[in-house]
Amino acid sequence: MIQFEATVNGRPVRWDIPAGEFLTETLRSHGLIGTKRGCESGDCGACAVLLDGVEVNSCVLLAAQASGHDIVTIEGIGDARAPHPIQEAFVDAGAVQCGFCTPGMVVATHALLADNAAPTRDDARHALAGHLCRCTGYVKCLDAVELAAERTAAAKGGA
Amino acid sequence: MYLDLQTYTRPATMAEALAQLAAPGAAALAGGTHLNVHGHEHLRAVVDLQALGLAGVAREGAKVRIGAMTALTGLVAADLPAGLAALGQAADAEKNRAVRNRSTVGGRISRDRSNGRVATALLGLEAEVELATGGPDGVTRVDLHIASRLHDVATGAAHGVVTAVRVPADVRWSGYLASQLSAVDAPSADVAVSAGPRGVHIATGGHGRGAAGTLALPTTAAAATALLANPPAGDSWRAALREVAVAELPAHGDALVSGDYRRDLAATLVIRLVAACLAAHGGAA
Amino acid sequence: MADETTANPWDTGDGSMPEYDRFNVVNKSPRRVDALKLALGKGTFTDDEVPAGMLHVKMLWSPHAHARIVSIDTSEAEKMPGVQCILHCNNVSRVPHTTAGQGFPEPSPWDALCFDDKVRFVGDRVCAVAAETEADALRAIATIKVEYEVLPAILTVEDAVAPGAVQIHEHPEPTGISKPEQNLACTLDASVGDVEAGFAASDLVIERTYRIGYAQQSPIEPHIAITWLDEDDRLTVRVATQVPFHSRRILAQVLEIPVARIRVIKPRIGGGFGVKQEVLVEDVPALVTLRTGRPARWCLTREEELVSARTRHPSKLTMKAGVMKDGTLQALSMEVLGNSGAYGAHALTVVSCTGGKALPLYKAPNYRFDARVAYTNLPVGGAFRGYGAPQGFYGVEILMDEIAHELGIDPIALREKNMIGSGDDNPLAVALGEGGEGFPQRIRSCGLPECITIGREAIGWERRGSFDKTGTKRRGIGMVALMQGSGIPGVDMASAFLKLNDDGSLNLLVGATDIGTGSDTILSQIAAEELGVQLEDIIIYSADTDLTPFDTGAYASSTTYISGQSVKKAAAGVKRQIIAAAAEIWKCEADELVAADKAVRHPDGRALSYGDICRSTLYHHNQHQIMDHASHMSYECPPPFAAHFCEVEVDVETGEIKVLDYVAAVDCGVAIHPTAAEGQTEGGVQMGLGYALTERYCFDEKGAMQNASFADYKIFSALDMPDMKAVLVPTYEPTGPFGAKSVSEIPINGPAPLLSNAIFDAIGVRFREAPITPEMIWRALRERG
Repeated sequence: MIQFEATVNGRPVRWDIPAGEFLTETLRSHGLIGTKRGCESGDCGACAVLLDGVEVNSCVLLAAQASGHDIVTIEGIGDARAPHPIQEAFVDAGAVQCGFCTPGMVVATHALLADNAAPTRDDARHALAGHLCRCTGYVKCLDAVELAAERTAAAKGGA
Repeated sequence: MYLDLQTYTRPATMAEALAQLAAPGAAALAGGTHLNVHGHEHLRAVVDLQALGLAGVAREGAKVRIGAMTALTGLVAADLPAGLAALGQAADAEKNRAVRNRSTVGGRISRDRSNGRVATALLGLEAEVELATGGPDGVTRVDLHIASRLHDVATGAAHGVVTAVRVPADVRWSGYLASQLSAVDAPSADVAVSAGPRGVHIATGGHGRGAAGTLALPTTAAAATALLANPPAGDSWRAALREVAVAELPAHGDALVSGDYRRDLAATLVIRLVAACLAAHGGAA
Repeated sequence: MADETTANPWDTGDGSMPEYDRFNVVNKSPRRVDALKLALGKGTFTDDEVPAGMLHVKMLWSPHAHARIVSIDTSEAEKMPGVQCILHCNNVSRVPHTTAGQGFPEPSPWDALCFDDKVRFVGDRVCAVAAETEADALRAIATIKVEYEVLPAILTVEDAVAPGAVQIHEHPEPTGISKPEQNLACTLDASVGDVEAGFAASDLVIERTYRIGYAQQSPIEPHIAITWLDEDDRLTVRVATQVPFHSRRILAQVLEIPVARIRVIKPRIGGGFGVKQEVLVEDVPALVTLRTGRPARWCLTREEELVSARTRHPSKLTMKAGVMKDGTLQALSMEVLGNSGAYGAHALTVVSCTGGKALPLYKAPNYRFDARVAYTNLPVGGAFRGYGAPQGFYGVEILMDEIAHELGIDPIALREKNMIGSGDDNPLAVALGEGGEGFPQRIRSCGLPECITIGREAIGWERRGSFDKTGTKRRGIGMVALMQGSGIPGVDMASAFLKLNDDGSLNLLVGATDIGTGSDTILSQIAAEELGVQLEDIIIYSADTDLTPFDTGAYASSTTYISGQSVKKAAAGVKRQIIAAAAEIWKCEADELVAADKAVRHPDGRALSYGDICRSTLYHHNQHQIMDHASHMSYECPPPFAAHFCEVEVDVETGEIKVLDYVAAVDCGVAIHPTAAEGQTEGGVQMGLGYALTERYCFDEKGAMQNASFADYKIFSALDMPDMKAVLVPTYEPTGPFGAKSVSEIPINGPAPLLSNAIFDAIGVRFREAPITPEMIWRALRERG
């Protein structure tokens, strides 16, 4: 066992974990079940989290590698009392079907909008390229990214 | 999948890292994006290189030095000379953004990766690889041509920790092209071409997958390169180039594509890249 | 069924369109009832809640395509740290069953055992280990020694049915196998008229063979089951399933315990697409739990999902048509040789849909359908969205294009000349039902002509034939017409239960399983519309065999059409009770009263809210719970219709294929939730495009899959997906709830034949094999010279 010390969703944590454990498992076994396991090879994106602000696949990241860093999971992006505008946009655009890939896509959109407040459809495609979805055909997911960007811009413009 | 690790270490100096790597069953860990798949059951110790300060891109005389731990997205975002466009193009085409955020330049030439976009681009740019070797007694720096490094990787003779790659800053033009089944696929074939004071360089990759033993590392297309030193007039260089490229490129087949298709594909990509280079330079490469 | 037609208040009775603006909740796209929690990461999938003290199951899979297990030595594994239970053919009873989650008795052969002393494909079960952690289980598995007697492997259907082929299922226990000695899981034939006479009377007889390969459903959530004993010592199974009630019944059979001792809970499901219509992973953890008394979990990895779960049956179709010069069809025949892999799950019913769903799209006086499905030593076929119809339409829709080409007729005109329409009877419906004789079907709603009109306009059909044919990149346009069904007539049954709460809200309990389709929302909309309440007033729960009434499950495009109708009936019953209670309170006649907007109104202007009425009945006046339940089944199976169009660009040097534009126009009757219906269409097209172009199974010479990962088994990503347009063409299906028909399966029938048609238009090469890879294009063009 090794000691894992990091900031998770803004809170410092200190967990004992096996040296060979991947971050997906560490997060899930500590109740952060919004991070999903879909392929465990970095291909589907269901396990995406933010590591020091950039999107990574937690299934191909040893938890030990993330120790000492800042981690944000889907639970840290918004909650039922204060959903993030991206989460609302996925709901309103009809982008949520089975919802298994949705947390990863929300994380990816969050990372995209942090870098690029006005993404084109093509930017959105690239941002979601590593997020396999078998339900939606991506059409409404791309709509959701655009809607989230519009709403974020409108909110900033109004402020 | 799980890793049966006994230790994870994050050394602060290269000397410590090399000492820890000398232990049986130990491996250096860069981004780790290839870790959670088959072939790592034997690992007992990983030595994480993240605290060694190996990330970053800097001008170093006539070269650009790219630290081994520079992530692929870092490479894409770096302020590279325009002539090195192939590097960014190759890095940006790799798998997906989450992987590109973690996967490193050093990692892409440090293991028997079949998926070698960055390796193809580095080969097309005649890059140099900087290695740290040694052990408890000290650290030795070694420079290798990228082709010898890839050869060492292929034969299992690769040693040391990649600390950086250096690419010539005076390349006038370079480009990277790949063909794949799907947009986020590993390439069936890929090609990098560069043109500069030392002439044209062509590298092609045939990224065999599936059945064991089909690994195909990038190779230099020497005859095609030679042909372009004195190209046939007009448009006839295309046919001539296809002929020499097909003749010299290896035909690696695998579970997904046949060798002859992959080779012809690579030849087509070479021609397209050379044409793009000619268009950019209004005539002679 | 007839009463549904007349009882439908929106039916205008004369076939004209009802007024859509009379709908308050249906035919609108409110937020899905479950979307926000899923976007927050709060949806509780099977793996998101684990009981304390749970064991983890890992499986030792067969490395051989065909072998007898001579011995299994687990002595070392038993001593390994953490190991609690080891299961294999020598310690688990032999109970023949099918993993196909179908109605009882299942029309699939009972050819599977939990563990057999034979393995029949690379990836078949050999031995399971349950341990404290997955790592412990894997370490133990590495020590197990199995001695195999390797048998000849059958890797093609042709070899399977060749005389003298080694028999794959030779044990005495299985039942329901059509011809085990010939490796035939099932055979089926049906005919209408006399095709030979039809061919003889035709101006042109055209015969072609088509092949379409393996594909996997690939829900992003793999199969998973978690089992435990509750405080009453009953086995509880939380499982990613489309069929909780079939799961309970088949599990009882396999475990040899009463149904009463099992509770199956369906939590959130991360996609199914048919592969979770299989009772595939429940038995092993259940056995572990029964033997150890401890909770157990078995979750497949992606590789295991691709190799050892279920797939689409690869099929070889020999199509023959007789047509007149003007394009009139005289006879249409389809001969299928299907590959069921090592077990016969869904083999008969899938292949019956290959003919039964695809052939009737075009009216011919003579039809023949002849099918055989063979066992091979390859991965196992199963239920997969479309359920045989994609294979059928692959043959029918390419053949139609080939006929049009031969006759020099526009492909659209040829289809319009022959396609089935409103008021037509489907002559094959009786001859070829679900795996046998069926029920007569008359088409009561058909928007196919409008779908074609809209699609041809949107894609720019008139540009077809005008593209430059000299450059490196060549463009082409193609189209296909499609249909499907809505539920299995005479088989599927659903039920619903509704009760009224103090504030006028209602609990809706359904056995229907939302697997990501949106059925929780759609069924809530139907209840709300019928009751005159808002969507937010319905609290839906699905599905739990202890708590919710029976439903056959989420398959065969049945949920909206069949389960929806049961909800509508139950809601109508509750509404009647609400009105009756109000009439009692007011001491007036019920038929004077109107219920709407969550209140009952008297002609004199008085009103009682549903909450007022409920509180009165719960606490004061003629005390009772206002509640009702209803079941529904149907002998009708109204087909949705669709027309798909696309434009492609083919690189003649590299063979790369780019889908530039895609239009899918679909008639699903009244869409209960139009955004969800579009989503089904877009997702179905995405899945179909993978089937057409990138998803394939590459085997080595020993039958082992070579590309079992998402890196190498390529499902379409956001970057691969073309810009596409899903268009809903409204019709009104008089037998459906609020005019609805199904929508979820039909889109996947389109892309595979469509890409063949569009690529033919682009480069003049006809591909009769799918998926079409760049290498196939490259090779075909080189061979053409």
